[in-house]
Amino acid sequence: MSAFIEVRDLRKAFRRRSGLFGPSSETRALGGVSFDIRKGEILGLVGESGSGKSTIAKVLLGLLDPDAGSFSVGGERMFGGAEPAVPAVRRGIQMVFQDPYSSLDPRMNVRAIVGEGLDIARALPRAAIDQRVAEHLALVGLDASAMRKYPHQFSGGQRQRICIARALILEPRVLIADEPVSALDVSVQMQVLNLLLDLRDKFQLTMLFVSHDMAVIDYLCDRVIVLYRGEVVETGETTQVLDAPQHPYTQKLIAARPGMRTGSGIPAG
Amino acid sequence: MNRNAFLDTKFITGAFCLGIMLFAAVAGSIFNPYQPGVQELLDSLDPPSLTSGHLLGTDHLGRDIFARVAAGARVSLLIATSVVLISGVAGMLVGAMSGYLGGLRDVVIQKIVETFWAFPPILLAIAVLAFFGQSLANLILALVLQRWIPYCRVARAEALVLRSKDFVAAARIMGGGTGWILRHHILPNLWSSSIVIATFSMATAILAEASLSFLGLGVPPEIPTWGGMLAEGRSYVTEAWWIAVFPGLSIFLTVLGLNLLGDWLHDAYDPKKDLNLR
Repeated sequence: MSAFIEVRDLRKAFRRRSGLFGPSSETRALGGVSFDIRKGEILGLVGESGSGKSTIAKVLLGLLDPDAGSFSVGGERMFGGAEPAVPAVRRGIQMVFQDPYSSLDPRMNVRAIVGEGLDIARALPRAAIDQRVAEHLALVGLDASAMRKYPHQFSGGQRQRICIARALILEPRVLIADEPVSALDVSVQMQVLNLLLDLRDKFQLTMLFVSHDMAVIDYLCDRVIVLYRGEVVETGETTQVLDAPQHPYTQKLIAARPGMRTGSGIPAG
Repeated sequence: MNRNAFLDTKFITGAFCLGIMLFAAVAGSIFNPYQPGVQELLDSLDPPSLTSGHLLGTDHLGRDIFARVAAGARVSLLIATSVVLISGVAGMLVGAMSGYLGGLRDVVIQKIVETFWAFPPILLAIAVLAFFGQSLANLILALVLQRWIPYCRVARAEALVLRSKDFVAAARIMGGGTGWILRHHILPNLWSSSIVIATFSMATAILAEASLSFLGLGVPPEIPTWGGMLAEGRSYVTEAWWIAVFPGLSIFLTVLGLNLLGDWLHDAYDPKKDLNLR
């Protein structure tokens, strides 16, 4: 199977100047990152904080311009070509955030939050948007009566379901999830992970799943890449990487979750 | 805000002070037989009395103090409300843009803000009134020029925080432009702090208007104002204390009431307190 998403030699450094005329210092976030994701695949992106995980996510979402490199989805170049990507193509990549509290506007009701993407596009009449919001709430296991409620009336897991519904309403081909379950209780984590697996099967979603929890990666991802100081140090099938880690950093990550491979890390099912 | 917040001492006292003033302003203009501008030289400097008809006495031209205090309340509240609304909307918009856009535009806007901040407020107002002439509109303009600053600063600080929230990133990913994000995510979230500033700002605007009118720089002298009455009463304060005391008392009660209400709102909207409740 050929690659659906192609990331080639992505580079990004953050420059900051100390004072108005002071010397500028440079922090390298990404030092030439390349990887592929196949259609309908969930790729795990593992690494410690500061390893460049979030920078990759931001670059793929168009929130941050890379210094160099290219990136294409389904053969369409998102950047690195002569023409900037069409906004409609850009919206084909959506995101689920880590913090289910700061990712929902406290002053908007669920109808406005989930329907925001359609409200911005203004392509549909209001009644049709209401209908679509109700459908997408059902999709993530929430009742249509939730539409008139506000974020603070929901639990962390429910909030994350609302975030997933919001991300899916523009019918994206790619979903990027930045540690979407790390802020949730373990029992709720499983529900959200299973929901993501169901949605992947239903919509043939291609997913990039950022995490540092090897147990979650083990449960969810088909393949995994390990990022260390802005560089990919290991790539492979999840089972292969977890059973026989090659890079010392990967070995350390797995050792940090003892007993994981015997199934005690996260309850199955 | 929980329901018990209305039982707060600050709220009760503040509402009581403002309630008295509003009641007096309405009663003074509807149930009082005297007009604020009519002179009765034969009745000049009558002391306050329940029987003579002039409840709060008369001034040196025989004008009814009660009617003039009530008319002054209308002028003061009209000016203060206009100033708060105009400066609030302008300050919030400029501050929100400054904080959200960041970069060079933020630096330029903040330098302008600091320039305005560097002028002593009364001096700035005097300069504007001397330059454009004395009128109600110019007085409002003069006060707006100093009152928009606090809104702008607070709005900028909050926009800086809001800008890094994930819901703003989500809106950008979904194709939302700067206008959309300002209208739907930044400005609505500034609402609670703007209400608190507005209450304090209203008190400051009333004081500033009274100071300018006292100096004779406020509205044209034929319009009765609290500050103007204070200035007129100053020369008669030994023989007719009531000319200066009642407008002074009005300023005191209104400003105290507004400050107490502002304090109460500040407590009620305090995000940290909100956090403890959940």
